[in-house]
Amino acid sequence: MKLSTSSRVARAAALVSHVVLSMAWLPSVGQAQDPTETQEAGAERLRAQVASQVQLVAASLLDELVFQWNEAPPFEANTPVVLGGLSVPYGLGTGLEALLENHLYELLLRQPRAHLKPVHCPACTGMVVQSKPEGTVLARGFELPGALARIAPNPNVKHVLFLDFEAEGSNLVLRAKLTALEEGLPIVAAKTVTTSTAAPALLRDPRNLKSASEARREYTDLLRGRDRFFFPVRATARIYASPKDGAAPSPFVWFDVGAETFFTQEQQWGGGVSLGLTSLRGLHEGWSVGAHAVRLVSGATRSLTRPDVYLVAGGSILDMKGQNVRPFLRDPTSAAELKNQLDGKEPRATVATWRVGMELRIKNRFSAMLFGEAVPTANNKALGSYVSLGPMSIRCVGLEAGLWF
Amino acid sequence: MIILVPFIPFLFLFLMGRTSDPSPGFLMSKRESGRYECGPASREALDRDRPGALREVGPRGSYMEIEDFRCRTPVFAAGERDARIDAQLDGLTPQVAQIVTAAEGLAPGATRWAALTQHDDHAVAQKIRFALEVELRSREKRVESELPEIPAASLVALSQLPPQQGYKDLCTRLPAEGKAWLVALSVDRKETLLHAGVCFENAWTWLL
Repeated sequence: MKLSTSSRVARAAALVSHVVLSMAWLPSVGQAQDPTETQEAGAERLRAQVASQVQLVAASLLDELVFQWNEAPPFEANTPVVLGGLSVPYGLGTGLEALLENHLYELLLRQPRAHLKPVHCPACTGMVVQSKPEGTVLARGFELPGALARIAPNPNVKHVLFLDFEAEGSNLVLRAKLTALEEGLPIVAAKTVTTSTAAPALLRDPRNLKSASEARREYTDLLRGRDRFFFPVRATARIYASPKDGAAPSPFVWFDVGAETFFTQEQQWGGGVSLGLTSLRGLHEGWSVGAHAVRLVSGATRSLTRPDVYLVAGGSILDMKGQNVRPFLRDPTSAAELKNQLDGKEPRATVATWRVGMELRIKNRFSAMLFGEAVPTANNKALGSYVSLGPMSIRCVGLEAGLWF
Repeated sequence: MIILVPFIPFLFLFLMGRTSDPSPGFLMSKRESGRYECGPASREALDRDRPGALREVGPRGSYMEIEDFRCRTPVFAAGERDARIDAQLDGLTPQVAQIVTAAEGLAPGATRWAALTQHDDHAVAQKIRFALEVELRSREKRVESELPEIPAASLVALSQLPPQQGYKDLCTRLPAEGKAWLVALSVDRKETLLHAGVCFENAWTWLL
């Protein structure tokens, strides 16, 4: 059978695509997974994610519960208490239970004013079998106080604490009950504490618990302590790239004053304006006006204790005159410039610049920035370039040190 | 034109600031927006949630009408838990309060209270019982946690009966002596609302 050229090409293309597709399919054979397993793994990841988000809020609820017991202890004297159970929101795992149990023990040990002394009682939480003429009962030790007293008599242990966390919409609810180990298992104290996911965890110090309102006031004061406006004073050194065949432009030192504000509570986004002056007697003098935006890149919120790194982007307009300004002239050989030269006037240039930089800020007081600046209106023959970012050439690198007020 | 260059970062910032707006639009998809539970809120509630974030209104009021609005994300997004159980647990506090309020009037002479639950998921049953006990105790009732000792065979027999009959029979087997038994149950797997009844002096009354 004779094939036409087009059908040969089609067959060859089909063969190649078959081989390519087969090769693409081969590695996936080894990785084939049961869809149920994949779903389970996905659900497990999701649970871990939710648990990590819930943990801080749940710990905050425990703080509040123990604080309330500090203020109004359920018992008059220090009373040994067994933790009978701590359950976490439905759908979350036991890892969270262990973390919260540890936090509760830490709180109770550090807060003797709550009058609850955590004690260990394996028989209370273990399974107990009690046989009576009416039948056999299988239950946990604390559910059968009579049997428990006979199996593992412990006159000190008379109360059991139960805690239950549950997610109700956007609220996390903590319910607590204290049960007496006596006939009928009467509940001697119960409490419900609720918080919302919208409320930040208060992260109270277990050694020095405060009420939620006090902790919030401290938090508010701290936030208000972060001034809305800052007034930085900066010294900036601009070092320009040398042209391929020409003298290196003179570096410029500028002094700026500015105002800066933040647009988000976390101080992630901000912006500011600045006014600058430069002067070197006989060589140059000038002024500048600029604006910039900043974005926090070292975390989700500005730290009060650690240095923060901001990404800075902005623009400036520089107006300068003097001999050092010559490399910034658009066309030094233009008639107007030549006339100025003949008249003995100093060269004058107004240039727009773009800058991108990284700034390190320490405790709202000091800052240091390294930046690169583009001078789009520059004359290529008089000003070199450090690096080209697409249509933009970075012609200047700068160092800036600031003091913030 | 060149004079406008420094203002471009501000335009960019303005657009980014819009990301805090949960309404669907240019910067937020409908799906993302659907994760939020939004509604009007009091300034006290907002201040409790986000201390210091609210701008205080001056003594002469504000120049524009300000509506306080709060958006929150549920702990579990839709689909992360079984839908029926999620609905039952999401509304647990108000439901339990409603059940206890209704029960109080039906057993005014009760000197002791106990809570029982029936749910096909044991963990959920325990949570509902816990919430009932805490609610009863918070209303100054004497609450006992002890479970009634009913032979397993009797329970199996009772579970074969329709709920209307089963709980009446169960009530006759529960210890009385001034004790009111508050029972919350999820009868149908398609239902999210809980049913409840009170057994007092061996007489069963449906609440919900």
